[in-house]
Formats: sequence, structure tokens, C-alpha cells
Amino acid sequence: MCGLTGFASTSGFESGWAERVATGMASAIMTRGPDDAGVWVDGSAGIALAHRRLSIVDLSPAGHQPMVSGSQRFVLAFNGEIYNHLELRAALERSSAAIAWRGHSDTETLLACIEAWGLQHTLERCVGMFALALWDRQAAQLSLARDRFGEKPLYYGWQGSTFLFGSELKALKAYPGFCASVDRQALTAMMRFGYVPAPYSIYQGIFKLPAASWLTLRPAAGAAAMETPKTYWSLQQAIQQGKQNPFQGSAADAVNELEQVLRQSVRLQMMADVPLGAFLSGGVDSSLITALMQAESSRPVQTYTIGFAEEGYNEAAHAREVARHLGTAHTELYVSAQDAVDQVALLPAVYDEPFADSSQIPTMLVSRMARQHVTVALSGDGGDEIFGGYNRYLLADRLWGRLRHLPPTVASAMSRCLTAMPEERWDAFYQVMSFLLPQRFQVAQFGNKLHKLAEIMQCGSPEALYQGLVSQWQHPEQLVLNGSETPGLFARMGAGTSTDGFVPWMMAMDTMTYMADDILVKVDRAAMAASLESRVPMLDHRVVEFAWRLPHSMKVSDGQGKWILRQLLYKHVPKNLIERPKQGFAIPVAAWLRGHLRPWAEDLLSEQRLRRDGYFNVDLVRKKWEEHVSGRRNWQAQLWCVLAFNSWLQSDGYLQLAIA
Amino acid sequence: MAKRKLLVLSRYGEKGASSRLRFFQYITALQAAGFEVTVSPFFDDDYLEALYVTGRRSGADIVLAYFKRMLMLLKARDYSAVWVEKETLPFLPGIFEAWLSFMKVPYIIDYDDAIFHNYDQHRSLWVRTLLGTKLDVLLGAARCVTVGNSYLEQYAIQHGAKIVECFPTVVDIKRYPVLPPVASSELRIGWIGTPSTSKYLEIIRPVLESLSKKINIKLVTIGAPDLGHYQCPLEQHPWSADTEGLLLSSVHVGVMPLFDDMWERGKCGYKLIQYMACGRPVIASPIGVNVDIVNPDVGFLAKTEDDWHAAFEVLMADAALRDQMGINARKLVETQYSLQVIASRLVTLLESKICVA
Repeated sequence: MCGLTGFASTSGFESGWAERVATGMASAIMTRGPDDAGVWVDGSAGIALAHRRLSIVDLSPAGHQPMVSGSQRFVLAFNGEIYNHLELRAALERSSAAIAWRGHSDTETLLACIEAWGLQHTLERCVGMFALALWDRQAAQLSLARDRFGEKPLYYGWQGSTFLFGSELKALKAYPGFCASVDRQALTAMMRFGYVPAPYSIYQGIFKLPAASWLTLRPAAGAAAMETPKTYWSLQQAIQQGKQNPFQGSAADAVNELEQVLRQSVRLQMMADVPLGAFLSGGVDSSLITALMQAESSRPVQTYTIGFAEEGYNEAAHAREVARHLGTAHTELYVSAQDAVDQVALLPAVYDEPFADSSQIPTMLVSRMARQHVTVALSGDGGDEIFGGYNRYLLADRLWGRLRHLPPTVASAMSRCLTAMPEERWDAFYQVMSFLLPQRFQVAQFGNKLHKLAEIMQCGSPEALYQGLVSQWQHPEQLVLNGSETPGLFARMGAGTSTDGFVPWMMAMDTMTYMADDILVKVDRAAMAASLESRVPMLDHRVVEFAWRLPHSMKVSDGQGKWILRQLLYKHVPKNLIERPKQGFAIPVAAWLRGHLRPWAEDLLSEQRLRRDGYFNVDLVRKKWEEHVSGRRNWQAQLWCVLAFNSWLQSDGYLQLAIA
Repeated sequence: MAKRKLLVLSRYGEKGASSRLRFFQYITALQAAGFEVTVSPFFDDDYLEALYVTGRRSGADIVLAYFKRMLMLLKARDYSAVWVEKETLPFLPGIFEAWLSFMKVPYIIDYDDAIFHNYDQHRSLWVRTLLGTKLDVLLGAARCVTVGNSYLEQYAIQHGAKIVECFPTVVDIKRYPVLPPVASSELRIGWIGTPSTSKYLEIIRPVLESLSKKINIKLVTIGAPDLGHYQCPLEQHPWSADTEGLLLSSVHVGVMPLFDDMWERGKCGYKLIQYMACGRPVIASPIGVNVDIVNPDVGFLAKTEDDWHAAFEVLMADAALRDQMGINARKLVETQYSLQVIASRLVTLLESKICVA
């Protein structure tokens, strides 16, 4: 796992200059790959590729990148892992003459596959997480590609006659004279979702390559001749195939088959020439991944968890129980509010595109802790989207079942009733009454959820209900000055996704949007900032394709999500260690904004700054902030979005001292 | 908050380089900050175009310009402040600026060259006597004086200005993308300017001529008159806004030789900032603001012919140094000499000077 970057020009350039600039761009993402650096330049063709390497597989110089193919035709800069690369080698050896392998890196395998099968067919056969830049010397053509779910990032865009690309925006920004304005449509979307959805980036003219796609361009032909990215796999297609070929066996058969598929994924992802461990929160997903790892390993698996001093946010005790049961070598890090608050200053450097999922903070802390012991960590991410784990699925389904019968005026009146009482009061009320509820109905942050519910009671369609549920600001166009919503982005994706029912549809949408652009971004940047490689076994596409063959009742059933994952987990961990309200890596942002983080937030949300920067409706932000600080309302999610953008803007410095 | 109405009295329209760089390029930022900006150039673009084409000034146009400006000054009371390029009426005593003070209209005055030497160094005794201290009156009554460099700053302070703020002449970095240098076996030495400033190239002519016998160099000029008599490889281009960036990017190093004289000390180093914005290293005479702009990370200061000689040879021999200096130079422009940075400083200054009224 590494970082890649580079640039291509419409005409040739001085190789020495290009080498130095490409080296500088790669240095900007050094934490992604501290072990080795390489640059490959062809000045007359106008192409420069650069790479930073975190050595995981084949630690020898034979894994050095950018790597030139055996025939000298292709040059590759590659970030990620091809988990099935040994299978691919075997396939190559079967189909063509013996190849004189120089080492055992997956980069070398990938190049040989591309030579034999071409890029598209190679991508179709790869199992893994990756982003790559491939230069075809014969065709004078550059290709960029990304894995199926968007685990590894890749940005690109033109600056004048130069095409830039890189694993993170930092690398592009290190190109001398990089200059781009904030894209207000992207900013509006960021205020809605808390992240900038692909294919957009926060900068005008700079894009994220969407998951499961590849892009080919001839730099000499210039920006105008560039085609849009093509896809080599799609979730929507996988869903269709799942419908055409549904799983026919019993529930027990399904659990057994899932175990095989997931275990295969875990086994492949445990391939590394360096120490490897797992993030363990004690929830269903991370416990299951850890259990399967332990089943695959003769020695105790290294596991890591993070605990908070604050009551109601601490999962460490649960994780410890699971670890003890599985017999892992478990490490806990207890952090104080101050430790977490200290991370806030680092956020714009780690997340170089504004990003507002506050669980980024514990993810950064746990990544840094894990890196002290291991170079690779497996996580349970993806389970919620693939197997239906979010509470909102249950909630939305139940709600829509009822809401659709409610006259709009009644829904609106009920909504007003719910917001009449502040979240904190609802929380207090809930604490007193919660003993009456069975354990599986208990939820964390009750008041916050009720307020969200109130907002969504006014939705007129299931799609609108879902959009309401995943939105931080319900009307971001009122917040962002000269902002507008990206027309049709959401609707296009939603309409192209055909599922049997509302909940599967939400799961598919989450996989393509929230998981790709929030969850995976959060994990990749946090881990890479610590030079730790994170791997996500749930996202082996064969696991996902299998999940979409299963009947929905094996995912969400009887008021509970991830049914089949639980059944599988119970084979390894007793039920009583797992069953409790779902929490995630939530941190008490609402309280911190009124306490430790208040001076930081006051500065970033000051009227003077907001006016000077000119991005937000000042009165709206100030009103939300004052209500939040007073304790009357909890606007943490909304404010965190604005804070994330403003702190990013501040670090972006001169680039954005706005001139239209 | 009451509407802040700003009257800009520029010397030229947008086609005049100094008016464009010191005034027009800030208007968008001022408007974004809520200023209502009215611009009234002394000479409009038509006058300037006619001057460029015919090389002559029309007497009637000049009379008209004075008349128009006087009328504008009578209306100054309608504005919250007046921002003046150099002076309201050239070659007339400062009674009109005194009029502004009398009407209690705050004004800010801007200098980007040593215009005062037009008066205090004038060859006519009459001009020296009548107008030699004209600017002292202007400076003393101004709410604030903005200047392009420390030489002008010193002058303004010594001649009675109460508040002086230094704002370098800057570039809009969005107009100067950094293009990779083209592979070339020669060292391409770039110079940008006008026929009137090409006299400074004479300073380095002997150096270029002797160097060209030893190493592979080429002088690339943009906007200079015919230099066919130079005994060195030459590539000459006329200036145009469209090709400027591309041509500047085709050189390896930009030069700014200057005589050591009073007028030159008041210059703002704009061409250095242009070369640097394109990501190219610079060599400059250590005169006036050049000393502030050029540091060892971005280029060389060359006083003597030997200095110039040595600087060219170092840059010819060391491409890596050239590249690094070029990258540093761009960074320096982005952080200190770009519209993107300076505009917000200027807006803040104008706000503070006007709101207290």
C-alpha cells in the first residue's frame, strides 16, 4: 500500500525538471509510503510518474515502483494490494510461456497480466483494493484505475496544459503553481452529506475517479479530447445477477457458504511479509473478522481497540471480552477528551479534502496505536452496508410503512412536536424510561435520533426519506452562498439501482455513496497518515456478490440487522458478548463543542471570518452555533460540517483567499 | 452598516498597466466585500490606444481629461472615500486634494513609482519651485498612503504622510499557470518590458555578448524594440496578453537589470514577479525593491558585469538549482506577491480607513 502521483503534459518537457517536481509531489504523500520512493519520467513524451512505497509484500528492491513491464511497453505506479495475485500468476503461467519473475510483488503480477490480457480484463480478474496509473509507451496513453468499492483514492484534473493525478489532493497541490477555486456545488454537497461525493472534489476542475472505473487519455490530445471514465464492474449489475441467481439453500447452508467466502477473503488479506493485526471494537463486524483471522492463524492475532473516558461512548470493555474469548493479543488505548481534541488540529493535514465524519478522530488514534506494533490492520468496515446493519434501515422501513399512510399535515404537526423538546431533554427522559425497553430496542443518543426523525417525517417519498436520513443539513443550498445542489447526482444513481424493496435499495445506495466516500476515506486517510495499511475483508467483491444473492430476510430480520453475520459470529463468540446497542466510533462532539473545542470553534465560526471568507450564510451559521452553545439544541452534525470546511480552508491558505 | 461607496480615480483605464495592477484587479475583491466601486480614469482606454498607435497625445483630449476630473472631484462628497492613483490632477498644484480634505472626504493615495521626481527633479526651475513640494500637501492630508515598495514608503513618511502601508504590485496567480520547461540545450534568458524600458538591457549586453561565445545562450525578449545589433543569439516577440504566459514559460531564467538612479529605486519589480509566477528563477540588479524580492532561494542579485556573468554560468551549469529556485520563486509569489493574498489585506485596510469616517 502506497501513494502514487504524477503529471502529463500536452507537449514534451525537460526531464530533470519533471523528475524533481514529481519527487516533490510524491513527498507530499510520504506518510502513505515511507519505505521507498521512485520516479519515472519520459520528457519527450511529456509524462512523469512517481511513487511512495510502504513495503508489505516483497520487501526487496524487486518491488520498486514505478515498475516497467517485461516488454518495456508499460510503466506502472500502483497503490494497494491484489490479494489474488498468486492465482493470477498461476493463470498466466498456464496460458502463456513461462515468465521470468523478478520478485514476488503483486505489482509485477499486475504488469504481466496487463501485458497478456490488457487493462480492462486484468481489472476484471483482480481481487483487491487499488489505485493505479499506467503509462503505455507504445500508444502514448495514460490510464488511471480504481478498485471496485473505492478503497484506495485517486484524484485527477487539468491545470492548463498539464494533467495532474495523485492518491491525495496534497500531491496535486505540490505541483508548482497548483491553483484551483472551491467548487461551490461540491461544497453544497459536502454540507448535505459531510463529505464531497465522487466524482467531484472540493476544487473546481479536479475530480475523484469513481470506484470500479478506469480512465484513459492521450495527454498530447489535451483536455478537450479526454473521455469520461468507464466501469469494469458495478454493484448495480451485481445486484441484478444476484436476483437472477438467488441462493437456493437453507439458512444454515447460507451461513456455511458465507463462512467459506468470508474466510477465503480474510485468508487472502492476511497475506503480508510484515506484522499484521486487526481493529476490534467488539461489535459484530470487527469481532467476526477477528474471529476468522484467529481461526486462520496459529498464533494470537494482534487486536487493537480504543476506549474513551466519557460514559456512554466506551466500547473498550466489550472489545476486551471478545478478545479474551478469542484469545487474541489485545492492546487497549484509553484516551482522554484532551487526546482526542488534540487531533482536531491535525485534521486538515490528514483529510486534505474537507471531511466531516467525527469518528475520523478515534480512527486516527487507533491507527497510530496499531502502527506501533503492526504495519497492516484488518477492519470490519463494509458489514453494515453489505449486510444491512445500520439502525436507519430498520427505522426508515418502519417509518415509511407508517408515514405513507399519514396525511402530510399530520406528519408535519408530529414533526413539530418532536422538535419542541431539546435533544438533551429527550436523552434525560430516555435515561429514566429506558429500563422499560427490551435490550434490543435500546439506542445510544436517543434525543439526537428523535430529532432526526422529526426532520424526516416531512418527506414525501422513500427516496426523499433516505436522503433526509443521510443528510446533515437538510437545505444546504440555503447555507452555502451561491451554492446549488449537483443536479441529478443522487437521483441518477438511485434510479439505476433496482432492488426488491426499500431497505435493500438503501443498502445499495450506502455502498455506492456513504461507504465509498465517507467510511473508506475515513479509514484510508487515518491509517495512511500513520503509515498503516488498512484492509477490508468484507469488500472482497465475491463476498458482496454472495450477499446480494441472499434473500433480504437473511440480512435484516425480526427487527435486527446483519442476521447472517451474527449467525456466523455466534459460531465463534457467544451471543451475550455481542448483543448490545450499536454504537460505532462515536465521540461526544456536542459536549466538546461546548467545552474543550469551544475556543477553536468560536474562532472558525466567528462572524468576521465567515463574512471575510464568503462561503456561508453568516446569520444561519451563527444562529445554529449560538443555539448549540446555549445547550438549547444540538447542532453538532451541522456545525461539524462547517467547522471541517473552515479549518480546511484555513490550512489551504492563500489558494482560497477568495476572488471570484 | 451604511453602504461603502468608493470612488477610484485612476490614471488610466484597464489597459494602462499601472492602473490595472494597482486598482482594477482589486475591484472584484472590493465588491465581494460589499464596496460599491465607481472608477473614473483620468485618461480612458481610447486615449491610451491612440497614444500607442500614433505615439502622440491629443491636446484636446488632455484638456477634456482635466475638465472631466474636476467635475468628478466636485461630486466626491457623494462617496465614503476616494482612492487616488498618484494625484488627482497631474501638473496642477494640490488644491484639489485640499478640496477633498475641505469637503471632509477621506482619500487614500497610491504610488507605484517615484512620481515625485517628476516635480522635484524636473529640469524646469518653475516646475521645481511651484510643484516640488506639491506631494507633501497631498500626503499630509491623505487618510492613508499605499505604496509599492519601501523607497516610496520612506519618501511618503519623510514628506508628511501619517499612515503608510506597503502593498507590492502583484499578479493574479490564476493567470500564470506553471508550465514545465521545454527540453533545450541552450539557456534561454528572458526579459519582458516596453520599448522605453529596454534601455536597461544595455547593462547586460556586454555580458550576453561575451557569454554567447563560450556557452549556448539565447536572449528572449517580449515587448522590446528590435535588438538586431546585439551580438548574441536573439529571439524577439511582441507583447500580447494572450501569449505573455506561454512566452515567459519558454525561458529558463528571467532578468531585470536596472540603473542605479532615483527613479529606478521607486520601481516595483513587477517583471520579476511575473518571471517568478511562471516558476522561473531570476537575476536582477540590486536596486530598490529588487533587493527585497530576490533572495538566494529564488535567484541572484548582480551588481557588476562579473556578477551577471557568474550568475548566468551557475544557472547554465546547474539545472537542478534552476528548477528548485523556480519552484521556490513561484511559492514566494503565491504567498507574498499574489492578488489572492494581497487583496484581502487591501480590503481590510480600506475597510478600516473608511469605516472610522
